[in-house]
Amino acid sequence: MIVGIEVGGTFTDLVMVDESGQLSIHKLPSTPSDPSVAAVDGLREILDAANASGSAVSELLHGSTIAANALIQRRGARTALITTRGFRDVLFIQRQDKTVVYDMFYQKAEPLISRAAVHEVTERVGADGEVVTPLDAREAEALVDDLVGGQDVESVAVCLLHAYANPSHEQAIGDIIKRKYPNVRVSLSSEVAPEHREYERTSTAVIDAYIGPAVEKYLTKFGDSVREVGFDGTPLIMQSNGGAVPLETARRLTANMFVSGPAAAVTAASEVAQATGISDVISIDVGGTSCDVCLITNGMPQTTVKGTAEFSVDGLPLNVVMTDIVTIGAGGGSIAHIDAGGMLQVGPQSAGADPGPACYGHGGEFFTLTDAMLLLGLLDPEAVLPGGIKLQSDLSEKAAADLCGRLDLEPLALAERVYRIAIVNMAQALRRVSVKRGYDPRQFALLPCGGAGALIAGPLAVEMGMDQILVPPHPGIFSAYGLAVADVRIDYVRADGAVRTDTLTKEGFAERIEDLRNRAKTEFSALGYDPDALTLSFAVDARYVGQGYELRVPIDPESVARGGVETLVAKFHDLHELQYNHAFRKSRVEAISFRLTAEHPRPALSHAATGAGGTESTGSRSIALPGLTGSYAIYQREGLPEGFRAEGPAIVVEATTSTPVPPGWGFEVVTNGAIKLTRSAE
Amino acid sequence: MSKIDPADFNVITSAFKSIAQEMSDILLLSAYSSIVREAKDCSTCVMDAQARTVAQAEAIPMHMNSLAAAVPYIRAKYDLETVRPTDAFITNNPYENGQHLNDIIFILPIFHEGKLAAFAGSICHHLEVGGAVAGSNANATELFQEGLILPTMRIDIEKDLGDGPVEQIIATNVRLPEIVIGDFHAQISAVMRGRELMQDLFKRYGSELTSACMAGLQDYSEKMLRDTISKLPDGEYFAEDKLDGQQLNSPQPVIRARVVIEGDQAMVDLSKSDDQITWPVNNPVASTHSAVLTVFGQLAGAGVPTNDGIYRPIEVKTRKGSMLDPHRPAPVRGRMSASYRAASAVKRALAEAAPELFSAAGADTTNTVTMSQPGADGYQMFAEIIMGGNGAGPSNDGAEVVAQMLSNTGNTPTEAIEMDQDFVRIVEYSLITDSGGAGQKRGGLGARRVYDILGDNVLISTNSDRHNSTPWGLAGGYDGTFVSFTLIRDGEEIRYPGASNIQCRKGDRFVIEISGGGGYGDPKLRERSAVRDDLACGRISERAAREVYGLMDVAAE
Repeated sequence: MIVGIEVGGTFTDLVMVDESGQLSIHKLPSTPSDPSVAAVDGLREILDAANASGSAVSELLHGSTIAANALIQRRGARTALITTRGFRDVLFIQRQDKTVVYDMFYQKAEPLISRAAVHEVTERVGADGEVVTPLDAREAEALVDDLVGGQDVESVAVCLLHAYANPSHEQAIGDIIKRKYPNVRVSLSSEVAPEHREYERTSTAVIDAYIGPAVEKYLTKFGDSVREVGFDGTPLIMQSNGGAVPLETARRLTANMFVSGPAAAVTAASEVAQATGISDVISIDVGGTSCDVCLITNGMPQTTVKGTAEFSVDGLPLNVVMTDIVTIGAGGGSIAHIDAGGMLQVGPQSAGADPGPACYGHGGEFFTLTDAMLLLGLLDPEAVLPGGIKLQSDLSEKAAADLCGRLDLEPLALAERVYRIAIVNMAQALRRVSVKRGYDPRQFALLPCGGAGALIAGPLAVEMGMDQILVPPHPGIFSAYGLAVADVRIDYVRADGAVRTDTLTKEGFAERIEDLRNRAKTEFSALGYDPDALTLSFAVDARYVGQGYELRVPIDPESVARGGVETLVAKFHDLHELQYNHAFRKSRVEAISFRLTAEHPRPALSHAATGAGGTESTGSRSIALPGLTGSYAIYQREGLPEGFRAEGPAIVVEATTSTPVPPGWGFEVVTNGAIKLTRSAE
Repeated sequence: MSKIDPADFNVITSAFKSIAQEMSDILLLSAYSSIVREAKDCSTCVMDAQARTVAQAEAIPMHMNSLAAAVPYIRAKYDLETVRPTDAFITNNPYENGQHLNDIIFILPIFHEGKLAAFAGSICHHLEVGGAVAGSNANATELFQEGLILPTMRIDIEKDLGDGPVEQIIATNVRLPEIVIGDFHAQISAVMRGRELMQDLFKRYGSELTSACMAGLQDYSEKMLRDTISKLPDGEYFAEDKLDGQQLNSPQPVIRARVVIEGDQAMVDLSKSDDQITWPVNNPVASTHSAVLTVFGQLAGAGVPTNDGIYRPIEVKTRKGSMLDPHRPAPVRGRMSASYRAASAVKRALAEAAPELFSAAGADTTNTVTMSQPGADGYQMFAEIIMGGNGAGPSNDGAEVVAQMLSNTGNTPTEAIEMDQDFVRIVEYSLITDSGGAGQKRGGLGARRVYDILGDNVLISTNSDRHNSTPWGLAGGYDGTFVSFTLIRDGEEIRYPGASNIQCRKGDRFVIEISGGGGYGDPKLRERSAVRDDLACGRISERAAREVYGLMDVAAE
C-alpha cells in the first residue's frame, strides 16, 4: 500500500491507499519542534487503524515544511560564502530596487548571513567561460582552513562570477573542502542554480548551504524512524517542482523542498483533472489565511520563470524549478474592515486558526469571510467542524455590528459584500496566472481545494466566465493526496552561455539535448529506476538578442531534428506573441538555458465514489449568494454514486466543506468521486 | 450618481489598479533594453475622460502625474470630441509638459458606446533618442542637441506606426533602432491591453458606475493625502539644496524651497530658485511637479493609490526662467539631478519641522553611466544607474545601496552586462566603508563600481550629482559622503564632474563612488552592539568607531 505524509504548519495529514484502491485518511496536530515526531506517530496510527504493519507499505511519500521553517526562523547552519574578489557585497546590494516604492524607511530583505561571513578569493572567469585570472588555490585553501578550523563554519556556499559558464574554480574550492573537511557541507552555485545573474545564483547557493545541514539531519532522522516502524523501502520526498525524489537525492537537493506542500496540492489537482479527461485547469487552494493559485495546461502545472513569477522565499531569490503558485492573502479567516480612506476591504489581515472567525466562539471579534459565508447560508449552522467547533451565527452578527453601523447595512447585506470582495480578490490571483501570461481563463476548468475552496468556486467561476468546476475528492487533505500520486521527478538545466540561434546548428542543439538526457538516465539508473521508462520533457529558455528576460519554450527534440533550429525559433516567436501580443519575427533569437524535466511515472489512483448512502436530497437551505440567491437542495456527498447528476441550485455537503451549485449550473459525480459542475447553456 | 455600493467601489477601483499594473507588467517583460527591463524606468496609467490620473502602476515616482500633465497640451492642439478610435497621442517634448527627450509618452483614448470615456497611457525611458553623442550629451547647450524632439502629435496607430512615417522617423534618428523600436512597441502593447481591459470594465459595469468609481478613487487618495498633511505642524518652512556646478568646484546653482503648511493643505514655493543654466541640468516644469509630489507621496507611505487626488491638496509655484521651469530651448537631459535637489530641499524643509516623521537625506542622485562603442554593424551600448545609500530614520538604519526616492531602478547584473558587451569588464561592486552618515541610526552605505575598459574608442557618458554636496543628516546625525567619478589612465587619476563625456581606450579603468545616506541622531547614542557589529562587518572603520561613535574598547578588539 501507498502512504503519503504531509506535514503542515498546524496539521499533519496522512493518506493511505490499499491494494484495492481503498483510500483512508488521518489528521493529527503537527509537532513544530521536531516535525518528524507527528509524521511517524501518524504513520503508526494510520497503520494500526488498518491493522497493518510497516512492512506492508510499498511506497512512502513525505512532504515537509522543514526547509521553510529553518529559513524563516533563521535557524540554519553557521554558513560562510566564498566569492570572486571585488564582489563581496552582492548579497547586500541585491538588485538595488525596492518592493515598496513609497516608503521613506524602506528595508531590504534580510540576507541569511552577515557581511563578516563573506570572503573573497582571487580568481576571475569571463562571460564565455574563459579564465581571466586563475584561481589562487593556496589562498583559497588558507581561507577554507580559517573558516572551518578557525571559525567553526558548518556549511560553505561558493558562488563565483560566470561559474555557470565555467565551474572549474568553484569545483576546485569544493574539492579542497571535501578533501580536508568531509563533514562540512558545500553548495556550489554551478550545481545548485547554474544560470547567469549573480545575485539570484548567490542567493540560491547561500539558501542551500544555510538550510542544507538542518534538512539533511531531518531527512536522516525521518528515514531512521520509518524504518523502526517497519518500512523497509526508500521514502520519496516531495519537491517544490511537484514531483518526488528518493530520500538520498533529496539530501542533495535541499533547496528544492520549499513549497512542497502547495506543490503537492497542484500535483493532485493535475492528476484528478486528467483522470476525468480535463487537461486545462486552474487550481485554487483556499485555506484560513491565504489562497494558492496555479495554472495547469495539458496536465502540466506551470513552473517559475524569472520575470513572470515570484521565485523567492522570505524575499530572498531562489532560482530552482518550482511549481508556479501565486499566493494572495485571502482565505476563510480574512478580516473585513474599513481602511483609512473609507473603503471596505477584506484581508489580507486574517483571524488565522486562533482565535479564528467570530463564529468559532474562540474569542474572535472580527467579521471574517467565514462569518460572511455562515450568514449567507453556505455553512451548515448545525454541523460540527473538526476540533468540535460549533458555528454560532449570533457571534458573526455581533462581529458585524460595527461595520454595519458605519456602512448603514444589515448583517446579511454586509455578508454579501464581503463575500463578493473576497471573490474578486481571488479572481485577481486567477488573472495573474492566466490572462497575464496569455491564457484565456474561460477555456480552463476551476479546481478548488482546501477547506474553503469549494465554498467560493461557483461564484468565482461565474466572475471569471469559466464554465466548468471540478471538486476533487478529499479537498481538505489535498496535499497529502498529491503525495500519493506524485511522479518521481528531477529537473536538469544546462546554461553555459547565450547561444544565438542563427549560430546554433542542429548538431549543437542535439548535443545539448543528449547531455541532459544522459544526465537524467544516469541518475535515475543509479536510483534503481528503469531509464527507458522515463518521460522526458525538454524546454529552451530563449529571448530576442538584447532582451532581458527569457520565455520558456517547450520543445520536442524530434521536431528540431526534422525541421532544424528554425522550429525552435518559430515556437519562440509564437509564444512571445501569445504572451505579449507581438513578435519580432525578423529579430535574432538567442537560447540561454536548455532544460529537461525527467519523470518516472507512478501509477494513477483509482478509487470509486463510495455511494453508500441515499441519492435523495436531504432538504434545502436558503442561500444568499450575490446574484445567485435561491433555495438550494442539500445533497450528502458521501452518499452519491459515480454517474449521479442533479441540477442547481443545490449544495453538496461533506465533513470538511460544502459545494454550492448555483442556479443555471448542474453537477455530476465522476471518476474517483470527483464532482464536476457545468454551467448550462445560457 | 448617488452613493456607490461599498462592494462595487472596492471591486471596480481594484480593477483600475490591476489594469494599470497589468500594463506595467507587459511593458517590463516585453521591453528590449536593460534601462526598461532592469531599471523599470517606465510608468503606465489609466485616466478618466477629463484625463485625470485614476490609477498608476507603482514603478517610478518621478513619473507621477507625468502622463496627465501632457494632456492639456493635447487638448490645446486637438479637439478631443473629434478623436477616433484609431488615434493615439505621442510626445516627448519637455516644453509641452514632457520630461526629457528620452521619455516618450504614448496615450490612447478609450471609447464606450461611441463616447470618449477614459484614457490609457504609458511613458517609457528610451535608451537612445539620437542627438550629438550616444547616450546623454553633457555638453548640450540647447534641447536640439539632445535628440529627436517629438511634438505633441495625434497619430493614427494603423497608418503611422510599423512602416508608417512616425515609426520610420524615430527609427532613423536613433543609434539603436532595434532596441528603441522594440521598447516603443512594448510601450504600445501595454497601452493597447489597458484599453481593452478598460473597455471590458465599462461594458460590464456601465459608464455611470465606472466613471463614479474613477472619481471616487481620486477622492479616496485625496482624503488620505489631506490626513497626511494634517500631521505636519502648521507654519512656513525654508530649506535649500545645491546642485553641482558644471565643472568640479565651479559655482553651484541653488534650489530654494519655501513650504507653507496650513491644515490639510500645502503650498510649495520654488520660485526663488536660481535662474536656468546653460548645461543640461534644467528641470522641465512637469518634472518639478513630479519631484515635489513624490515627497508627499513618500510621507503618506504605501497604500495610497497614485492618482489626481494626491495632487489636489498641494500647490506648487515655480518661476518661468528659473532652472525648475526653464524657457525653451534650455537643455534638460540631466533633469533628474535638479529634480532630486528640489525634492531634497522640500523634504528638508518639512523634516526640520517634524523630524520624527522623516528620514535623513539619501544619496538622492541618479548616477547614469552609459557606455558605447561604435562598430561595423552598429553601436554596442548599455546604460545603467548606480544608486547610493538611504538616509537613516528615527528608528532604522538607512538601507545600503538602494533606489532613491524619485526612482525604483534596479541594477544590471554584472554577468548580464558582460554577456552582452565585450568592451568592458566590471571588477568591483561593493559597499564603501564609512560612507553612511554616522548617527544613532546610521545612514546606508554607498556603492563603488569599477569598470575595466577592454577596447578602444569607448565613450562613457555620465549624468550625476552630489560631487560637490553631501546628503544631509537629521536630528544631529552626520552627513553622508560625496559622489566621485575617477578615470585611471597609465597610473594617473583624473576626476570628472557628474555630467561628462569621456573618451576611453583599452587599459583605462573607471571608478565610481556613490554617496552613503545621512545619519539620524547623535552617533554617541548608538547602541554599542550595533557599533561593534558595524565594525566587525567592515561597514565602519576602527577610527570611526572610536572617534565618531566613541567606542572605547576598539583597540582591544
